[in-house]
Amino acid sequence: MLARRIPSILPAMSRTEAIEVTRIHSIAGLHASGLVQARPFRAPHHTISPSGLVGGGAPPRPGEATLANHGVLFLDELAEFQRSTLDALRQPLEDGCVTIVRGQRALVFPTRFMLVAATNPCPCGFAGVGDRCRCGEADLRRHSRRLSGPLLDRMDLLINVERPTEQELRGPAQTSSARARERVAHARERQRFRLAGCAARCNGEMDARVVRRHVTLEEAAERALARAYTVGALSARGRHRVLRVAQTIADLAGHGRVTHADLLTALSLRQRGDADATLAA
Amino acid sequence: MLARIATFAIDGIDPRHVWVEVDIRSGLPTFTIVGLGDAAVRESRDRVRSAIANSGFEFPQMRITANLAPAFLRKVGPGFDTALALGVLAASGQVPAEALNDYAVFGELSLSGDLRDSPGALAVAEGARRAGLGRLIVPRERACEAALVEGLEIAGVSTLRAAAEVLGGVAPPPLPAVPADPPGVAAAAAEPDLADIRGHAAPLLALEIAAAGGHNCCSRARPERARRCSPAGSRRSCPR
Repeated sequence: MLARRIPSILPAMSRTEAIEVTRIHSIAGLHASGLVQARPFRAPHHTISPSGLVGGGAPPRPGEATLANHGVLFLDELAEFQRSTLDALRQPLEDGCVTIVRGQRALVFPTRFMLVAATNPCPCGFAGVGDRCRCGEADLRRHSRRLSGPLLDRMDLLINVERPTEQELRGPAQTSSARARERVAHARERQRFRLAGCAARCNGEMDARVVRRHVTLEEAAERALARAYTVGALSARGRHRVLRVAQTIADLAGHGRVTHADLLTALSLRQRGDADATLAA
Repeated sequence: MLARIATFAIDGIDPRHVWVEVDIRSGLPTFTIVGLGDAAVRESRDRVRSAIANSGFEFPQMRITANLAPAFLRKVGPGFDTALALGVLAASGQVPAEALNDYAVFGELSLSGDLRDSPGALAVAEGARRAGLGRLIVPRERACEAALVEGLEIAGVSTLRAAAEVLGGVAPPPLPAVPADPPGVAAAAAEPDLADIRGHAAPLLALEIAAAGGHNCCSRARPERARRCSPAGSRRSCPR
């Protein structure tokens, strides 16, 4: 399971972040004593209700999105969640907080988490594996309809996970968490330096204005992005997301400006309706 | 006689200042709690009565009225027990009432008079500092957590008797030692490691990028390679 390994490469929390997490987890009764050190990793089951995810009830209590604040919210089997539950997540994802209004009272819960989702190709999970898939056309349509919602629009990275080959399974490990954590910490340091004075703390939180001001592309990259956009391989929102991801790739590689290769990698990690973006560029 | 003591209600994830006022008059022995409390606050009466008696104090056989102010704020949970009990003791002259001025009190009581572990101590400590109070009494299990707030004197006590002694001027017990592990390291060692993954070069790269930039990501298991083996001409991604 790839997603479960994300906490092992995330940078450590600052003291302010750790205190905020400790406060919320203490209120929710999830925490023994002292300061929470590890970033939260919340993986609710797909039967969760909208108020369980974003908060609610009487009296209103924080939901999983708030418990995952400064950490990771992992939604496994994304297509099995209720549509209303996933839609409830849209505004918290965009704003970094959710306002729960019940009767006369309005409560604001912070929801600055990293959303990680995983899903199967079809309801039975065997799509593409020989002829083992038993899903009908209607099942497949229903499945893809749930996924193609506005939620996918808010994903910076859309990746297809292929079955590893036999050689790969027998081969050596490609990386370790310790090495990856070091690279991640280095990239975060560059972001902190560049984004000093902005509301955004990392590339994933940059809005359009910050992107325009801080993300600079090499000429070849600029041309490739323009081509991908002109041929319609990217939406306007998709273009914005590609720029953010390209900046992170440049930060990981230590590039001052986004290179052509950085941009192509970013395009290839956004395999949606605009799957041909790489080819177009 | 009237006593007033500060405590905090947790509203969502924020602390709200609450005054516990206890008034004791002559009359039929009753104990009433007003101020929009939930069932746990109403049941607090019986816990407070037993805890006081079992801690070697005397529960006054008089007309006791406790008010949780402000009255419009809904109070939830058993965290007001200790404040109510100390309020009763102060109003009946069993602990010095003037000592309560600088203190905030938080914690659930058991019938035996022990302070039980209560969630939300850090939020209460933040509220106490914001309200300009200097000292806070919390259950001993939560003392380390409350001590994360600087500029506040924390008394982590395990019984109502000890809490009353702290109010009487006895020095509070030292904070329990925090299990000291360097941030991140000990926790990371127990986690599953990326070194266990074989293959999956692109997803690994995506994971690292997501972590480095705080990007949302969605992975789909889609065996492209196998799909090419599906019956020729089929445009469905999922052959039957």
